[in-house]
Amino acid sequence: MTRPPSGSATVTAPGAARTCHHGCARNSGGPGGGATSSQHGHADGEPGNPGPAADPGTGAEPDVRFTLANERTFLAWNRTALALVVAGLGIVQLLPPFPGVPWGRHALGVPLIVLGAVVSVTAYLEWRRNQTALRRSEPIPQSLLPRILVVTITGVAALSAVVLLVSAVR
Amino acid sequence: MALPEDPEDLAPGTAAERTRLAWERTAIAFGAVGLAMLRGEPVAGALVLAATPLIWALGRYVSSAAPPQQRARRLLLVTVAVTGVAVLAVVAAFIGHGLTRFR
Repeated sequence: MTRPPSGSATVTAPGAARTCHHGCARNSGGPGGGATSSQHGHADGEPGNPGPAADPGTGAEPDVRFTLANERTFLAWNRTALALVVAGLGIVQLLPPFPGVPWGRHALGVPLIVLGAVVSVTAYLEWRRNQTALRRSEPIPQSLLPRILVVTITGVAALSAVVLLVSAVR
Repeated sequence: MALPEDPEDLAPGTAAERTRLAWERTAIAFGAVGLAMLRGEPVAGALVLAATPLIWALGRYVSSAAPPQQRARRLLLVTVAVTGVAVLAVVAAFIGHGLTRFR
């Protein structure tokens, strides 16, 4: 297999062929272009899903458009993380205190800030994992981030209802 | 003429352009968070604002076509910066209002 020089990658022309780590060509663009990763026969005992610590430098350089899309997804998650951090800080510093619940603002704001850090770190691990899957022509593993986000935001929403109720009762 | 299955096949350069714009949006987000923090926490806000040109430069000058390890390092820098902002925010949430605390 000949690996293209990694420093010379440019946006692939329409219909340009990709090569997987086996050296078999696949068409990355154009109508009816080639097999998908799941259809692509890789029965040599490779692991199905690369773990979070998988090295994104292994395998063959994928179509640069896939690399760029993976990078944009990572950046979008990091902007979400920043929004969560600033929302948490806003709750702690800008909301007036809840009457009778002095811990209320911290209880609602700090989990959002921590969630921001978790989202950012997880986005990096998933970027590495996805890049490794792309380089090995394997299916992209499922993302954990939507689940983490849903669980935490639902928890914070439930907690805010509790804080408001306790504040109204006292 | 039949349209290609992937719209990017019409103009493949748009992928690189959209990625550059995504880096710029991320840098702007850092700037906005820094400005928002500046009022209550001047030191933390200034630190976050200082990260803004760094993020912009990472997107502008480190090519997406760089070797894989170099690409991984620059994305790791973004993660470190966002995690740093979160740590500053937690500290600010618990120990008060920056310089104004000492007035």
